Amino acid sequence: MINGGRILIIEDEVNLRQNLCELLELHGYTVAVADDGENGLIGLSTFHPDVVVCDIKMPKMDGYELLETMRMYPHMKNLPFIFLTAKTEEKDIVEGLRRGADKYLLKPVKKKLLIETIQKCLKQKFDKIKDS
Amino acid sequence: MNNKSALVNSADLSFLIDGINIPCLIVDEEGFIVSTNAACELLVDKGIAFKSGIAFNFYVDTKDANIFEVLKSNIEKGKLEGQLLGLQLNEGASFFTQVSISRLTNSDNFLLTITPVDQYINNDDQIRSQRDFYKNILDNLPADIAVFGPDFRYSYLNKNAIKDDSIRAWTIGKTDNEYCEFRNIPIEVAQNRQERLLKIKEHKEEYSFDESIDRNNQLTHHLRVMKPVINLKDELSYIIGYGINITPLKEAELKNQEQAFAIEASLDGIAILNSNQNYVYMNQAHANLFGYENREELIGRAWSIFYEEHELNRILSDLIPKLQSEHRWRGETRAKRKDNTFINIDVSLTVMENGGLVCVIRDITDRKEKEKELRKLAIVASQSNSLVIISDKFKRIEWINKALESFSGFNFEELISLKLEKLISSELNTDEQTSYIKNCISNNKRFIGEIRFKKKSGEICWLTINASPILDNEGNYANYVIVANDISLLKETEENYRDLLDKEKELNKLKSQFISLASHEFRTPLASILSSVDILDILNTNKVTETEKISKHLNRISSEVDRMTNIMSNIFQIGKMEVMRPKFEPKKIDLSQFINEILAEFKFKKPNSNIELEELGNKYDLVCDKNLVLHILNNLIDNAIKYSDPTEKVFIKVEYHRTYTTISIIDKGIGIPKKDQEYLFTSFYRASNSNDISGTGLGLVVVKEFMDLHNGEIEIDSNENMGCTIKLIFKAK
Repeated sequence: MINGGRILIIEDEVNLRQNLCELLELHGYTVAVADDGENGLIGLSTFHPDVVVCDIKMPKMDGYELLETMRMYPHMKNLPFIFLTAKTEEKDIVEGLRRGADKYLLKPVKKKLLIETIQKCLKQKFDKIKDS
Repeated sequence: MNNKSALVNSADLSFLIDGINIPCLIVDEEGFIVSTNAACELLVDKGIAFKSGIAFNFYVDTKDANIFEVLKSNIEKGKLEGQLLGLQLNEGASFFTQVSISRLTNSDNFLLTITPVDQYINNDDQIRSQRDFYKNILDNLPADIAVFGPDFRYSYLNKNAIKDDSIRAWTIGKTDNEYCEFRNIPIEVAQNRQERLLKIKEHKEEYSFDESIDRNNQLTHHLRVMKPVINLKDELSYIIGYGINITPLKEAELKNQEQAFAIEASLDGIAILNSNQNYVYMNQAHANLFGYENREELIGRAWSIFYEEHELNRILSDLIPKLQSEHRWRGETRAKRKDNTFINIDVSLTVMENGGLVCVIRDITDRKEKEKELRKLAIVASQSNSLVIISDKFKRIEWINKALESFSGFNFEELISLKLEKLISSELNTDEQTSYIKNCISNNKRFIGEIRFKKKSGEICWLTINASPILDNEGNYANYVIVANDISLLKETEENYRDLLDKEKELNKLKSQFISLASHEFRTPLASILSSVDILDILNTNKVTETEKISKHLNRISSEVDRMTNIMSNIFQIGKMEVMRPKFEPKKIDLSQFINEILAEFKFKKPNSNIELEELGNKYDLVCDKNLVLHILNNLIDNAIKYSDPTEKVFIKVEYHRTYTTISIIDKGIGIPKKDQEYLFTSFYRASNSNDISGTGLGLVVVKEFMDLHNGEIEIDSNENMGCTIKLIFKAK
């Protein structure tokens, strides 16, 4: 169990966004939120998250576009990225992973699965740092 | 003649002249004949009989009434040669003679000696004038005259034979070979003539033959007669050729021959009867039809022998008046043949100028039998409810049944002789189909299919057609029989089913799309609820007693459940719309009163809301479905309040126009970005600036659907942060 970690949540639905933020904070993470893709990009450059949890269908800039833009920056090339979305069809999942997401979670997500996935991502990130 | 003799009486004179062997006359001073000698008898044979007591003038063919005085004056002039005179023969002809006159010594009488010219002429002028005379005759003779020498070279040609003087001159002394070569006449012509000339020379006999010359692609025919002239030593002195152009005759003859051949070759029996209606001529076919091998048996016999009495009477009663009035008759008869069998024939008779008849007959026994059969078939076909068309050999409509007439609206006269392929409209049928059927028709193939057909009334129907070519005994195409049936009703049902099926498929597709969309839309509120529950759980475990936090999450759960309920009810509405059309029951309503009721309800539900109604124009009752309009207005007013600042007013503006009524819902809220406006009526679409406000993305879909039912329109006038006007337009009926 890795304690702490900076999580950026990008979600347009206000209730869910607040709930995710509160829930992760209760689990000891440092959390920042953004309400669409464009604000998400700003969050990435100002907050420097360890893991990104991001919706796909959002106004202004959707999750795919955000991920693609993010991956263009060398320092964020390997930044763990989790899609949390209502797009549940197999083709959506395949599309999400193809575009470079590390994990793909379906709404409504169980707390346990969300925390485990974030833990895995953090571990992956710190392992890589240790290796290099 | 002895001038010194002193004889005076006429008897002595007669004695004197009798000794002369040319005809002599003694005439008196007045020119009356006193006596004639024995030689005058020679002239009697020629038709001239001098008689004593008649004036010499009487015998002379001249305009000069007093020729005798002319003769007497010759003596005074000392002119010794005789005078050329024509003596009158019978029928106005003349006999040319040389008449010399001398005065008898011691007498008042004169002696006339009459020498026929052919024995006498030696004068150059006379010869020349005579030659011109004959030449004139020869040149103006409408025939070619040529004279060949014994060596077969041309020694004379008249003008008709060769018109051009220089060519004619050139030809003299040439052979036919040379001539034909020169004139571009086939050499066979010359060879042919050469053969004849040789034969004439050998047999010394006259020959005549037809000569056809194909010169410069123009065929001419000549009749040539060649006659040898033999001298006293029985040698050939020359051959006279005589030719006349018989091209028109020959052509007419050829035509006659062809016609005669055609008549002989005809399968129809052709005969000529004289005015007594007995056979004069018939071709073999005519005899054969009546069973006679030898047509001579029938020549001279009457046509009536072929008929039994009652048939003959029937024919005559029809034929006699017709022949008299129209000079022709045509009919069908039943004739008895030589072997006593019967034959059905079609007979046509035409009266000729000489009162005779031309009779043409044709065997129609087969046709009669076919007709009998056809009649049976026709009864079947005409009574049939199916549509029947029969075409002729040229694929033109020959017959249609009553069912077709009454079905199509076209009558027989309109369709007869129409080409079959014209029935297949290329406008109504696919190119593929049209060309297939046309191809079948032109190749005499059977075809079965379904086509669209336009009736005279313009109504379009579906027909199944079954077209079969009928072959004759030799296996050649003879007719098409087309049987068609109206299957419009069947087709319509089939099409309805197909439409229904398509609709059903479309609906299913929509439904599954909708379900996938709906399930997606449920997941977000569910995720909120689940996370709130998770948080509450943690708070509970940690014994946290912050009531504010707990109630926040309980409220959140409750609002998300509300949202889901909302989505559910909208989905139910839309689902209902798509599976079955919602009930649309338009009724007249007092719009003003109706809207006021709705506003009162809003005031009760949302006491803070600020809605103002404005009405323009002359009020009238609107015809609409009250329940649907209630749903529409609730939805739009709800939106207007939801997306505006609570301090801003919402306006409802009703405008009554003559042909339509508009209801506008105007707010000063966040507006709808231009880019989102075209998607507003798509399920679950929400404008990009609606993040913080809960909504289902279904409301406007339902509004649109309900407006469509009213045949109404929705106009949106909005910009982001500039408020929104939604105008509903109801057409006044």
